Amino acid sequence: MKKKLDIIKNDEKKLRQKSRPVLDLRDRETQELIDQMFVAMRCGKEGIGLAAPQVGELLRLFVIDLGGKKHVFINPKIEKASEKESVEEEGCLSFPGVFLSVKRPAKIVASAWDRYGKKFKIKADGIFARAIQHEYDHLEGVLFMDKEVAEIKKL
Amino acid sequence: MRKKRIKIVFWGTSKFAENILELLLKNDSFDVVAVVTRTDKLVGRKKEIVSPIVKQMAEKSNITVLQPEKLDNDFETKLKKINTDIFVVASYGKIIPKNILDIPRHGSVNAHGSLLPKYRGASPIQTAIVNGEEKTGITLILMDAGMDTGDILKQQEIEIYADDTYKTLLEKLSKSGAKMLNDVLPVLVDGKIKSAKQDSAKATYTKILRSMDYEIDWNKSAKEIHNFVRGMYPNAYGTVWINNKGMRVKVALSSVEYDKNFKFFRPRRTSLKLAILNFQNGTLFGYEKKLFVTCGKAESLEIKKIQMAGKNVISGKDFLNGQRDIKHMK
Repeated sequence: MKKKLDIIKNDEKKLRQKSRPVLDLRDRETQELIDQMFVAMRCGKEGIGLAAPQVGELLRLFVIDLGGKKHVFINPKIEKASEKESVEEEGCLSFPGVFLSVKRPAKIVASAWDRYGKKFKIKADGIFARAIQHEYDHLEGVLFMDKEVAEIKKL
Repeated sequence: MRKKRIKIVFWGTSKFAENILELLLKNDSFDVVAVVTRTDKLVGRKKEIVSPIVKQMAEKSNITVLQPEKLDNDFETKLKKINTDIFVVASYGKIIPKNILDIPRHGSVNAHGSLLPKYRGASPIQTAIVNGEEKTGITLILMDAGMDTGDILKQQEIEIYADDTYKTLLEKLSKSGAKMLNDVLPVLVDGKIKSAKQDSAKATYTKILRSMDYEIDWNKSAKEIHNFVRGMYPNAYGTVWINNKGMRVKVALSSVEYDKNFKFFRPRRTSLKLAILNFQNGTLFGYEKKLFVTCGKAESLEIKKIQMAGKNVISGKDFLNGQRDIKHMK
C-alpha cells in the first residue's frame, strides 16, 4: 500500500541528523520511497530537489527534477568542486517562505548509484550543481542557513 | 531545494496596480525586488504631498521604490543594475520606451483591463461600462514599443453585471489579473509560453480621462446616462436644473429600473408626460418620494445618490427633502 509522504517543515532538530548509507538499493521499500519522494516534491510545483531525511527517512538518497530528466542519487559523493564560487538565492521545501543567499562552488563532479543499482558520475553547473550540493548537505544534517552569506545588495 | 523565485520589478500607480501588487506580494514564488511608480503629487489647496498607494504598500514590505521623473538613460542604467527576470506593468501611467522594456531577461508583461485588441489605451475599464458592454476582460501581453499592441499571453473574459460600477469592475478585473499572472509568469520564465498576435484591424482606443470627460450629457437616453454614471464612478458630474436654476452636482448612483412598464420612467399619463417634456433636459423632479432627472428621448432617470459641491454624498430622498424648490409630480 502506498502512503503519502509528508515533508518535515521548520524542524531543525530533526533535519540536523546525519543519514546512513542505503544498503539494499534495489529492494521494494527503497523503490517505493523514491517514487513517493518525486510525488511529494512535485506537490505545489515549486520543488526541484528533495532528500530522504526531509521525509523522515535517514537514508543517503535524494532526488532532483529540474523539469527535464529525473535524477536519483543514492549514496552520493561530491568528487570535485570548482574553486570558483557563486552566490545565488536558495529556498528549501522544509523551510517555506525562507530565501537566503548561499555561496557554493559553481561547478562540481558528483558520483552516486541510480535506482537500478548502476554507478554513475555526473558533471554539473548552474542550478543543477547548486541543487546537488543543497541536497547532499541534507544527508550530512547541514542546512542552507549554515551557509548563508550577507544579502547581495539589490541596487 | 525549491525553484528559484522569479525576480520582478513592478510598474504601476493606480488602484488597479495596487490590487495586483498586493496579490503578487503574497505569492512566494515571486520576489518583487523594486517598484516603479509615478512621482508624489501636491494635492488640494494646502498642497499636501500625496504619494501613490503603491509606494506606501511597497515601503511597508521593505521594497525599493523608484519614482523617476523621466525614463531616460540615467534611469535605464539604474534599472540595469537590478537583477530582474520580468517587469510586470499595470496602469503605470506613462509609455515605457522599448530600450527599458527590453532590460529584463524574460521581457515585460502588461496586465490590461480589456479584451485586447478592443479598448487599448488609458481608460479601458471605464469606457467598456460607458459603452454598455456586457462583458470585458483582462489581457496579459508581452509588451512592445506600441501602446497595448504586444502579443497576447493569456486572456480571460469577465462579465459586466448591470449593477457594476468602475469600482466593482476594477476590483474583479485586478484580482483575476493577479491570478493570471500567478499562472503565466512561471511558464514564461520556463520558456514554454505560447503567444498570439493581436488583430490590429479590430483595435479600438480609449483616452486619458480629464475632468471635462466626466461631464454628463443630459440629452442622452436614460440608459446611456446610467452607464456613464456607472463607468465614471464616482466622478460623473453635471449641471442639474431646479426651477430653471442650475446647480452643479455629482451623480454617484442612478437606477434605470424604477418602473419596468414605464421604461426608464417614461410616464403613461399624458399630463405628467407633457410636464416632463416641458422641462429642459437635466431638470430634477420628485415622484413618489424619489428623485428623478429628465433625459433625452423623453426619458427620466432615477438618481439614487447625489453630491453637491463641497458636501457629502446623500441619497436622492434626502436631497429631495432638502430642496424645497424641486417640483413634485403626481
